[in-house]
Amino acid sequence: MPIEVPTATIAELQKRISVLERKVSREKKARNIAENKLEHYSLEIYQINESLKEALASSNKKKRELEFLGESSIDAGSEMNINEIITHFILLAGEFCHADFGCYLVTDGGVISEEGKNQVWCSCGTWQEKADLVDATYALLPIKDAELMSSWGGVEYLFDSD
Amino acid sequence: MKGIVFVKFNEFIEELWGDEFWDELLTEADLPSEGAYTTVATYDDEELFTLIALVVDKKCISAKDAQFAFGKWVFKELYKAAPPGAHDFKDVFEFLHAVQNFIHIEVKKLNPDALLPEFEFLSETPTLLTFKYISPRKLCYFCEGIVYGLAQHTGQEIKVSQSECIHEAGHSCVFEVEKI
Repeated sequence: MPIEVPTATIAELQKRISVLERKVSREKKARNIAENKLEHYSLEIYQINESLKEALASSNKKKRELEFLGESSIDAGSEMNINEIITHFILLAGEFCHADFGCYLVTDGGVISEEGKNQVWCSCGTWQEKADLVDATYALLPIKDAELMSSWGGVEYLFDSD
Repeated sequence: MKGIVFVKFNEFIEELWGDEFWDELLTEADLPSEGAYTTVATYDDEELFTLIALVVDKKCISAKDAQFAFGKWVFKELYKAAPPGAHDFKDVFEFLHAVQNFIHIEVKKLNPDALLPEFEFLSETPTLLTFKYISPRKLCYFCEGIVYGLAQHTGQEIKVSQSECIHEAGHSCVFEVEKI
């Protein structure tokens, strides 16, 4: 036998259901708004974080460059002789570039001088004799002034000759 | 106004008169937001004023009482959301100074566009603090309720009065908070 539910109760229940349906609909809408906002904020924070990382890396690079230039220029004004200045500069340049080895050559009228030849600076902090490494390096380096300027990009016209 | 105020007003009304009454308010108010409030958004101040006006009308209470009751209730809720350092204050006067000098500064860091009331402290003795409440929203009764909510939280007995009120032909709202 079916249960008889008073009409008033059904009407009340229907009203209650409508109230709850509207409540759910408002809460869904609020959740969507909140999710969209949070997604937007997250993206904004990510982009700001990325640009901060870039700015920090660029700032660190500039700082290292300035330190390198600063230390190099101190040497130029010091009482060190030319050989000491050159060897210290190789050390600074090697550290600045994170190089494993560093060497230099002195030319006189396009001819390589014996000064410092075959000497290689190592990142371990010592100078070692490494003729093969020096030869390989010299083969790649411009020796004459015009070649040197050319390697820097189109300023060779400043020089008439070696 | 920040969404947290609307979300808390919703909770306050539902706690007092149930969700059917809240639904009734929203249906009658026909607000642009449709009452879909979230704490991370900002809504037009007018929506809150419309809802308060409807409560006042339907429950036959004054706007002053409605604002005051909501302020007193909402303190504990806002306190939960306050920045960590705000929980160190144990005295009403100390806390009121901190609202101006610390809490609102922290809130501004997170919400630079937040429009916050200002307290201009006029005088202070160990038992009486006088300050001016400055806000374009003119919610001084709400602020009065909040101060009582604060005292309830710190366990202090106080009496708050306004020696001058913008709603009663004053030039500004001047609060006198007395420890009893």
